[in-house]
Amino acid sequence: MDMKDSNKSLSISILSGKGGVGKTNIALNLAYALVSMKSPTLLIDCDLGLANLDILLGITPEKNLEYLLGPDTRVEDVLITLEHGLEFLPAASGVPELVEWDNDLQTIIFKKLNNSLSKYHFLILDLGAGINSTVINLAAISRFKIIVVTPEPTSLTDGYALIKVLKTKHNIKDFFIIVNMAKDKKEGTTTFQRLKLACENFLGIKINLLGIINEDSNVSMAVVNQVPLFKFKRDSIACKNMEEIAMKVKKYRELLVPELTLPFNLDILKKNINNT
Amino acid sequence: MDKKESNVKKIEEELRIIQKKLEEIIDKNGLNTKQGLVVFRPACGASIEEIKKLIQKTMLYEWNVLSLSGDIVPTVLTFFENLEQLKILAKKDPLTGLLNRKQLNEVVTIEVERCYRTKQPLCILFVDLDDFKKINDTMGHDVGDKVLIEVANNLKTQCRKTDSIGRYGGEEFVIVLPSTSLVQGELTGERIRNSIKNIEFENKEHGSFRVTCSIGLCCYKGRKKIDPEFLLKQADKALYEAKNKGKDRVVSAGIVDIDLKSVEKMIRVNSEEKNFLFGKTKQK
Repeated sequence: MDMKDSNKSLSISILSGKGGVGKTNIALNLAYALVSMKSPTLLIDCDLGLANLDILLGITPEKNLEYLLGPDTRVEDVLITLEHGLEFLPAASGVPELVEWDNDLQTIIFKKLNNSLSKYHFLILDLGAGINSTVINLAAISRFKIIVVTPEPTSLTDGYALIKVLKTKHNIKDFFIIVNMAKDKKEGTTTFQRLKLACENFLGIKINLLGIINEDSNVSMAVVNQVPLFKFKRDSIACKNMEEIAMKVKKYRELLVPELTLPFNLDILKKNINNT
Repeated sequence: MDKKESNVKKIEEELRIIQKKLEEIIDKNGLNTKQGLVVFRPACGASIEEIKKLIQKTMLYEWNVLSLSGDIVPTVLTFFENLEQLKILAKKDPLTGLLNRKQLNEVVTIEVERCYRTKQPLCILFVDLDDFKKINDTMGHDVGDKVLIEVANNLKTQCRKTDSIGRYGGEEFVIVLPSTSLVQGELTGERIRNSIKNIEFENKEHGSFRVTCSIGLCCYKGRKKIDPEFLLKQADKALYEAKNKGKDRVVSAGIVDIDLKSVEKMIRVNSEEKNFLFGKTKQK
């Protein structure tokens, strides 16, 4: 594994606003694609309280992210190695108390993560749906924000709402868009253009297109089989789209490497308090 | 100094000595109302106003005056005034005007209960001045007292109306911050540390000087019932750590009522159930 850029982890949060647009699948396959390009990657299930990355992987972890709240639990105690260069931090299911973490819990966990994740090139955070404060905060502390939308109007609206909240609350302006489940390239482009224009007109920001993923029945077949699409059918069109996206993400990291320090910017959580 | 003034001065000294001795005796024997005494001495030539001033100056409100002129009214009035002062003093530290230890313990008990009911986080800060003994030893207790008063006043300006500040002992202060998360508590701790550090104490004899402080804190989320005493102990422990690490710093003991066991308890869907739902396991 290429380790020359150690201590230069790029944290990527994957968001959508609306549920069911394929966030978890994208997070999972993006991770596999990056690892296949020799970039050590950690996949973190941040759909707190209702996690299901483990289900897509067909594993049932004994421990999870929430255990890090225990003062003596270390990150290594919770990590699961999926394959060489790819590790996974699962989250728990059925924890209503933790769906909305307060700043304290976020700080405790991400401080621990900040101090022990330097060996990875990529940290991929699969965030939950919605725009609760946990989603907003975790997006804000990570470096690279990917918004997943589908051509459906509801998804587009929710994606826009999320961008607007992040822009107004934390003045975040750099967003990368994935249009998922597009019938063809044209539908994907149209969808992105609509979102792009809205963001320009109403928010005054320029969003970037990261990629378009075609609608592909292989995706749901992989889910039913509890195997990542990357393993299930690597030559599928959706998988190829995701590999292209991974390539772009890798390039972005190379550009950003000189300015990368700690993966998560926890000062934002402090500012968050002072403003309220 | 005229004769009358020196007489009043003498009474003041006597008051302090007798007060101290009486407290020793009561401490030794324990409180026994059946054997109680009233100790008095005539102060011929002194007016009731003068003695009242003396009592205010020394804060010895337990001492009452009996008018020898036969007029009972000033006697009764002074008695009630003293009683009122004692009621206030029972809650406050006489030097700084902050809450005293007993009152502070009561506040912590109430806030712990409130936090458990409302789940609004509660932070406790222990603030201790660094090397305070040196100030007392080299510059005298008067200077030391002035430092304590100024630090107390500074703490008052740093806190919100809903916070409670008390003097816990010597140079140790405790601040109770309701509705305050750990992150907020840590920020407040840092702010207080910097603010105290920036106070310049003027002293004619020894020149101006500054003090630093160490702060220990902890946070309670109201997730399980705890003994208020335990919360204070955790903050105190963090303070000791701050001292041991070299003073002039804030050390946090974290959240006292979240541990692995409580986290495990919160997780409702376990791996057995997940296995059952999908009927397969690759890794355990």
